[in-house]
Amino acid sequence: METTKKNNENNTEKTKAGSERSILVKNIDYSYRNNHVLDHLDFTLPLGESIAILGANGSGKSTLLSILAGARKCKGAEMLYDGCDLLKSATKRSQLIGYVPQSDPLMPDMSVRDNLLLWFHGKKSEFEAALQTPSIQMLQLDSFLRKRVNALSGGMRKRVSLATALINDPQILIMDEPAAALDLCYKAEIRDYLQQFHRDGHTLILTTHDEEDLSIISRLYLLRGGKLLLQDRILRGEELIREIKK
Amino acid sequence: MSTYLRLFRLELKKNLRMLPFVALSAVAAALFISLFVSLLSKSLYEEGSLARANVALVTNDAENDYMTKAIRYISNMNSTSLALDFEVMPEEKAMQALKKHDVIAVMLFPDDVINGILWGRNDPIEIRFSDTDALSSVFLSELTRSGAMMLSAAQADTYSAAELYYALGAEGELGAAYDDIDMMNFSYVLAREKMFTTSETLPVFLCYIASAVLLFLFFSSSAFAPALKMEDRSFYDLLFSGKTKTSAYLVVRLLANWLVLFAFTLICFIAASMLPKHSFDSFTLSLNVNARHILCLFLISGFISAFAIFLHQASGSAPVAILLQLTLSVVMLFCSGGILPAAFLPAALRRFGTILPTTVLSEDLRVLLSGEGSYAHGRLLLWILGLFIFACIAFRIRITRKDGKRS
Repeated sequence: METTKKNNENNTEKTKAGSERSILVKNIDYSYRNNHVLDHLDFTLPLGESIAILGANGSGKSTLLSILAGARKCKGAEMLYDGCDLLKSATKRSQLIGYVPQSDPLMPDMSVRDNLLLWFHGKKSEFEAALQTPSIQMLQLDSFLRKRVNALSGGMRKRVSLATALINDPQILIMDEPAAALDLCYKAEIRDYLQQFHRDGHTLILTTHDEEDLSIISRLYLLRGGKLLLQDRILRGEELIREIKK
Repeated sequence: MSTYLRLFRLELKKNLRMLPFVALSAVAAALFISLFVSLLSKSLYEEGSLARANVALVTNDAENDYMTKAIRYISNMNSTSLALDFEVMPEEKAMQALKKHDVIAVMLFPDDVINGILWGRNDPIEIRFSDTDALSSVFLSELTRSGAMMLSAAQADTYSAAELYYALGAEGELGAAYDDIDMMNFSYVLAREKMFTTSETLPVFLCYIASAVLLFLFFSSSAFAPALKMEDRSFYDLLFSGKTKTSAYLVVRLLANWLVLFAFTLICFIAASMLPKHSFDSFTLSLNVNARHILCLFLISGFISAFAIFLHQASGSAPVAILLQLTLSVVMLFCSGGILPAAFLPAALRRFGTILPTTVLSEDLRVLLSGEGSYAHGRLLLWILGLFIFACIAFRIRITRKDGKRS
């Protein structure tokens, strides 16, 4: 309990210090019927960082990410950036944030190109240029742009999902379990893309159950008992498991 | 707006891709429905019924000329010739056949039955039915009752003629004249059947064509299911995290499917209009492509699309939606009197049938096929709107069902 309080204070201090370059998240409170998964969370997301949110199964990680991405409504919650509440302004949010849910948000019967075009916010004439941006180019989609999604492997589909989020060149990428259901090669591949994205000066927020993913992380939160706890360093191994289980 | 346009383009593309499958299922549906309608209409209204039953006749007067005539007369009656074959056989063999269900009834004629009829003794003819064949029993009972009424009318005429001969003192010529008198009486009695005519100008077969067209559209449009199935939950999470509204998304889906189905229906209609004209008793069936008919087809396609969209959102699964679409269309059409005449249905079912959309669809199709009467576009539009609203509600429930709520 004391740790939680300390962490919340710590978060608030950081918010005050760098409000220009961070997003202030306030009052996220969410329940699944009788299960209170998110308990009045207030925290700061510093821009330019690579943030991981870890927790046990069912702790509310995916729920938290979907709220931050605007995919799930949460009454009374605020997400303040540059004087604007991103949870209320869908336009601003979609400009700033790209979101990749745990399962692929794709139309399986359509081509990769069609899927990307659907999520592209610009004019159709600008689409070709968007495909040439570094964040899309690093995903190497050119060879299967015209293939149907249901003909792709799991790793390729994950790359396409990532591309749907990156096609609008967002500043922040929110990704729910990037390595879920992928084999070792694809996991490493996706991790490389994320690392590259972060190196380019973007912000990365992800949840994961894979310790390997922590290699690209600069800030770690633990979600436990409905509270979000900022860790002063990136925990590993037994120590990390102990903290999650606490 | 651009998101909706892009969604519309994708939905249109998905539906257009399904057209070859729709065409294939249309061929299958056409074959199946033609067979079904042909069997149904033949067994109910026309000669050449495929389901026939045997009736055993037990009589000791099989060699009697009058008996032979009577059996030939009964066998050739319109109603009996549709479904019954009569065979004279010994009583023991007939009873064995009844037990084995080789015959549905045994008619036991008393000795000298023809003379009994001629001289007014009217010895009863016993009919024995198989215990397990209640429907056939009803059928044959009705048949014999109507036969007996006809016979009694002919008998009364014969006796009147005989009395007239006696009154005129010509009883010596009566024996030779009986055959002629009987045949004349029968011919007059049979001619009375023509007293009952119907004022209905549309042939029954036209109603079946309307039902067949409806079933054809319902069956062939079920091939659109892969295009109408729900997307992954995460797709909707992402889609509705922006400004996209659920109802507008469903409008896009409905419009895309509606347009493609309408194009398909229109092509089928134009192809049908090129077929040679088909003549019925009272009129000639010929299809004309004009604005009224095209509007009717447009609304019928709209109803079928809205119905399919609703079923897909309510069931959440393409196979279940297909199954529901096929089953419900047949059940609703049955309740609307599109498969069996509504007069045969129980009163409650008949009343229920009048509120079903298939009743409106059938009526509109009959107007389209016959060119007579007026369309019920208003009711059809209300159905489309109602189904769409229910589809929106079902969709919202489905995509928010797993959500919790803020405490």
